[in-house]
Amino acid sequence: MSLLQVKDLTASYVIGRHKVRVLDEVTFDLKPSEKMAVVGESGSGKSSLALILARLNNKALIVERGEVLYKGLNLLNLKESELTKFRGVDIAVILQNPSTALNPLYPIGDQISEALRAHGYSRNEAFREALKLLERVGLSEPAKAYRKYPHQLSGGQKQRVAIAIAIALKPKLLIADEPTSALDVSTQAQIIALLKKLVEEDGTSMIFITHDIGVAYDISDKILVMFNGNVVEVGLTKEVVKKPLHPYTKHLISSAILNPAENRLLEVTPENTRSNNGLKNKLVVGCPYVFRCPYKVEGLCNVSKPGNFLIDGRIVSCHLYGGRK
Amino acid sequence: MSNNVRSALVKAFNLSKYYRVSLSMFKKTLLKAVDNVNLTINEDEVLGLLGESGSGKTTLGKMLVALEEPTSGKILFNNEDLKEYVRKRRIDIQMVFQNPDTSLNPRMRVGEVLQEALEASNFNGDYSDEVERLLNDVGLDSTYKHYYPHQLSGGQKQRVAIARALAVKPKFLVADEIVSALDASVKMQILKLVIKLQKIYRFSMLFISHDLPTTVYVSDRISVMYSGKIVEEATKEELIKDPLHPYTRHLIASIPSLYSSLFNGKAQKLKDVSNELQATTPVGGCKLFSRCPYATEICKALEPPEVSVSKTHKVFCHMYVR
Ligand SMILES: Nc1ncnc2c1ncn2[C@@H]1O[C@H](COP(=O)(O)OP(=O)(O)OP(=O)(O)O)[C@@H](O)[C@H]1O
Ligand SMILES: Nc1ncnc2c1ncn2[C@@H]1O[C@H](COP(=O)(O)OP(=O)(O)OP(=O)(O)O)[C@@H](O)[C@H]1O
Ligand SMILES: [Mg+2]
Ligand SMILES: [Mg+2]
Repeated sequence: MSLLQVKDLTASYVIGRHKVRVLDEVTFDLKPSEKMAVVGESGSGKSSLALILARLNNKALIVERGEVLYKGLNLLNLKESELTKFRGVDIAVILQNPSTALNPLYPIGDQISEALRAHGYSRNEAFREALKLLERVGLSEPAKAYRKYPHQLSGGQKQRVAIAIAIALKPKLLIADEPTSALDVSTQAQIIALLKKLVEEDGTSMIFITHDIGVAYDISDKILVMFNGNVVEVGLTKEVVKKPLHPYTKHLISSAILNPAENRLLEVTPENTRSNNGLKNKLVVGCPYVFRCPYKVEGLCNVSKPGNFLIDGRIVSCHLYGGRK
Repeated sequence: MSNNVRSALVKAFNLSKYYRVSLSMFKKTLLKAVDNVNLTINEDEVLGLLGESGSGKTTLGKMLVALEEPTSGKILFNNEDLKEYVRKRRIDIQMVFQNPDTSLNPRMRVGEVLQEALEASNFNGDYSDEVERLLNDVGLDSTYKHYYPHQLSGGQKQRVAIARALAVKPKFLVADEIVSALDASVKMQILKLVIKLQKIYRFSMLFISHDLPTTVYVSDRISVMYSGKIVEEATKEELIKDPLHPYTRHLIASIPSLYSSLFNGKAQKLKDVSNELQATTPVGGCKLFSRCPYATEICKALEPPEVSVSKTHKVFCHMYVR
């Protein structure tokens, strides 16, 4: 049984009188307690996807087609008033910059309590639970931490508090958009270990967005690779990293990993770098990767969009695999 | 790469930079951003400077290009006092910063930016040809000379900043986190470019980064910095094979497992004190004292001495004193 099913999700930004496509028939599903990483380069649409899944998108980002089924219920059809029931309890969000989640004017402990009280906790219960949460996210001396204001904390400590707020009501699904990218390496490692431990303890499903394949590798069971608004490959993380199938996934992985034998990088799977330097290629027909793909087949890849092919339990969207449908 | 025939280009002796910062309305304290550092960068060499946020990397880099006045210590450039040298030939020494948005003038087209740099050097040829050649060097089409910075992506802006620094054919370049803001594939393009250009023009470079795999990729030698001090210095090969300082091993333990296969078994996490609201560091002793699993009484009392492991490998840690 799936917890979340996303089908043909297609969305655009409205810019003046124009529409610019940002997600194109995005399809995947997520099981209970499954941890999925979403990877892809800057501008590929990862944050836009997160915003729509959490229904936090404003008027400029419109859904044109598709469904987001949470336990079978299409979230896209819910009114704002119906959504408040879901927020925090079913679906919670953590963003890159923890400062946006915290109010600078209140002690952090009160902000956690408030989230709990909005969902039926009494003042006392909320206070006690907030202390427990502060301890769970690794802040020593919770009673002292409770009274601190956001500006008195480091970036890593603030992100811990944002995590405490997100997990306060034991959500079924946690969406984390680059929660460690603004942090320094050693802090990043701590926060990733913490998040992983917490979702595993609570059986929470997680969608973890990152542009770093190494981070994705450590945190996820499953990986979804995006390119220019399209899903190009979905599969088990270990398998995808070991044997990427889509040419873009191959490039992404080979350009990230050091070769132990030579203290050098592996030979990077080539890309057609000329078009790399140009502005973003938005295309109507054909494969989204065609401009950069070293394996493209003229007359095929530039004229028709590849379907989703199922290969060894993996979904790959590339004409190279078309014969083995 | 034959280390022993290279001669020193930049030499820093007992270099320190202290800032006076206020703790509260009445209390002030001295922040030792860089604390008694000795460092050599040879000709045609890339020295990596690795350390976490706030360890003093940028401050050290700025002193080495004379953008920041040291509190104490001495810097020689080409066997001459750095300040004297800069007075005569500023353009030999360049720095590229993490954020190209703040270093490129938004009102100047790419071509104008590069031409201005060429005019500052004693270049005497055809400006337009040279601008195109520079753009070509950094992998940009010549049409980009008409673009303004806001019309470029982050990676493209960084290429322009690098082209500008190299336009004047510097002898020494400080590259301060030049790829930290970029995503993986653009990052690789820029790193390869920098390595290629260094091989062509043979300038010396201080490559500042908090990312261990990137630093290993680019550098000949690596200095690891913690809290204003160099804690370990070695060739790239030595640092990979035999990282000694507990902080270096902690950095290795912090990188995603996919990238750390290189450092097989040499990872060791330090105590996590980031959750403590007030971390305490002893005065006079090792700055890592409260986080280090191997710390003993001597670490609390005495500053760690320099221990030479080989001609090119040194570590500042009581554990290795014999
Ligand atoms: N408010 C907006 N109006 C118009 N276009 C937008 C807006 N926000 C984002 N975009 C565009 O939508 C595309 C996808 O952006 P998105 O932020 O989802 O990417 P991302 O994968 O999260 O990138 P990053 O890794 O840089 O965070 C980009 O081309 C971006 O320029
Ligand atoms: N002008 C200044 N006045 C006061 N303190 C400063 C100043 N510049 C830097 N510092 C302090 O000196 C220390 C070292 O700063 P520096 O910018 O050199 O670190 P860094 O290693 O480059 O860090 P990052 O990786 O975050 O760039 C920090 O604690 C910083 O707050
Ligand atoms: Mg994003
Ligand atoms: Mg810095």
